[in-house]
Amino acid sequence: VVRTTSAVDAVGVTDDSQLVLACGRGDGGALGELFDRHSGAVYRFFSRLVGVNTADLDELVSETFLNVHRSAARFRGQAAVRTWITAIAANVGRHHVRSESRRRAFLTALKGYLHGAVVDADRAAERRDLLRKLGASVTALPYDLRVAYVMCDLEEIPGVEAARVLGIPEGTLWRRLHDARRALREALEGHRRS
Amino acid sequence: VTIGTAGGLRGCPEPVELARALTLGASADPAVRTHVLACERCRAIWTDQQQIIALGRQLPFEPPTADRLRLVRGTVLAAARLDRGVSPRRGAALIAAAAFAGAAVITLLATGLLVHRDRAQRPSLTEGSTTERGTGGPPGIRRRSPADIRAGAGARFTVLSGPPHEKVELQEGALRVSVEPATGGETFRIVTRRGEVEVRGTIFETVASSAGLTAVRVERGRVVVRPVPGQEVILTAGQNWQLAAAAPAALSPAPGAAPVVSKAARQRQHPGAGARAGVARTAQISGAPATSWRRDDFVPGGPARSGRDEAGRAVPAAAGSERAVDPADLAFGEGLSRFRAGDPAAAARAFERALALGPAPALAEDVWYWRGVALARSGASGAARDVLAVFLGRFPLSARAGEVSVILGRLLHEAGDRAAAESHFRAGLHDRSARVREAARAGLDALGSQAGQ
Repeated sequence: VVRTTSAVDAVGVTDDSQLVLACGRGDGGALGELFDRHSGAVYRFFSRLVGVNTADLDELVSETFLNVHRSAARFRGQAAVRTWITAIAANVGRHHVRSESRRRAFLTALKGYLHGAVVDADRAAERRDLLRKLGASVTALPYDLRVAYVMCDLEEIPGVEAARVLGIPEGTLWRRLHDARRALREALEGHRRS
Repeated sequence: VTIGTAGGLRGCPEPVELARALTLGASADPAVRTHVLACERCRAIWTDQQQIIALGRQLPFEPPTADRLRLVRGTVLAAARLDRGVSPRRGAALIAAAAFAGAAVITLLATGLLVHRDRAQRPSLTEGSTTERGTGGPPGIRRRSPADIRAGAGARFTVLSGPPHEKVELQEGALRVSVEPATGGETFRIVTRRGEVEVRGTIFETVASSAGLTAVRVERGRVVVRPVPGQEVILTAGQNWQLAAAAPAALSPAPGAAPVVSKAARQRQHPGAGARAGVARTAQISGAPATSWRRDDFVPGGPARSGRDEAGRAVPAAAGSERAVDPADLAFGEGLSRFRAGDPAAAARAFERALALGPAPALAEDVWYWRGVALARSGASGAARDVLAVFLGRFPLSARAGEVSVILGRLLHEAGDRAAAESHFRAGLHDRSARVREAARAGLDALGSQAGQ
């Protein structure tokens, strides 16, 4: 809505890291460019991480990019910018899911889903059902497992980088990934049996 | 090949190794890959997990529309320029009217309100006050702090550690701190030379001297006071205390100071006054050593505002207590008066002050709206655009959203951003108010006629 004149635009900088550096110097144009490049991925990340409530997604994405703006001066280039932004989003999401009201709303929705789910004989419908169940199961995972699964398996962020930006040992990340996949598999097994 | 337990081969890789190999794919350890091919159990696990990954990547995702992206982008850029969060957490705003100029006190206030990270750029507690802050905290990507620290005149403090266990040391002066409700084991502490206060969420304020804790008032939630190591007193909503023996003369309140301080001053001037009849039992424990502090040492009362404890139960205000005047309300009222008097620039400044004071949610929408309108009326179009964009981002369901869209559309049109202007005019076409719809159509007509020229 509000465009700014950016020094970054003027010199034609296209590298993500340089955009972050410019953003850290207060260049609003750089922040806008980062938003343009990565907001889609951040939306997708949140939709997989916390569900698909539109208003919540907008707020979470806004909060993430504001934190990008505030943290840019501390960016040291130890990970790809996309990984770094995803880690910021993961932290923002953590606050979101801690809200008890949201958790209760989610559990209510999940309960409704579980009780109301109809297994369709049609394979396509069954697949959609399975995906819905998987989506619900992902958001029911403990947050740390969820972040590992969404970051590494769905967003395909390299595990080494993910561990670094999340501030955890690599082995911990692999363990979380394993636990997340196993929990999801068990959840889907239960679904198939039902 | 030797068959191991559960159908697996002996020497099966650890699950963690399997997870790693699956993620790394072709670059995984060849030995693990070879093993997986030979081992039925590991192959089954491998296949299952591959399916989980493949299925997960098919999870539906509906990309945001261009209009949504444009709106969120504008909100982010405007908020970044204003350095204001757009957090969805909008708790009750409560501001201590403490302007303890020259006093060696802490004012600590916890709310569930917005999080402001860049403390240096925000308005300080009082005119001419200064802020010094440390840069403590773990390296790397820091979690968002739940606290907003503002310094009073001459304050010196150091942030010793960042989230999740934030710790601030006060060396001298006054601090006012807003803290989000603590969740998941997070803590926030302020330590002084002797004694400390730990936030257990929601709303309260604390007054202390830099030599030791002096007074605490709890608006909502719970606060743990540790006057000396090993001793704890928990205060809940509506309670406050004051250690008269430790209260420095500098606690004399500035005009508009919080009631707890007014009581402190009265207590110093008239020891025992109001000690009964439910007004304000004396908090004085003159001459008592700090180690003798008891729950009874605390003065029930404080502001008449009701609260809720951590279990969500309503906690009535203490009988006979005084009602604190919300300074954000006062600043907002001043802004409206200035606006009506034909001074939109002064009005905008007053609304800015109201925002800095953290207005209650019900008031925040009004303040943001009027600030944007006042800025636009005063000719500060750029700032008005930023503020109105933030308004739309924060209050998308507001009854004024259509009107604000049209105002913002006009400002954007004037600034030459026709595409954004059109988008905002269109947003006003379906407003419930005929006047707004008409204005939106007029805006679109103006864009159309300009395009036709």
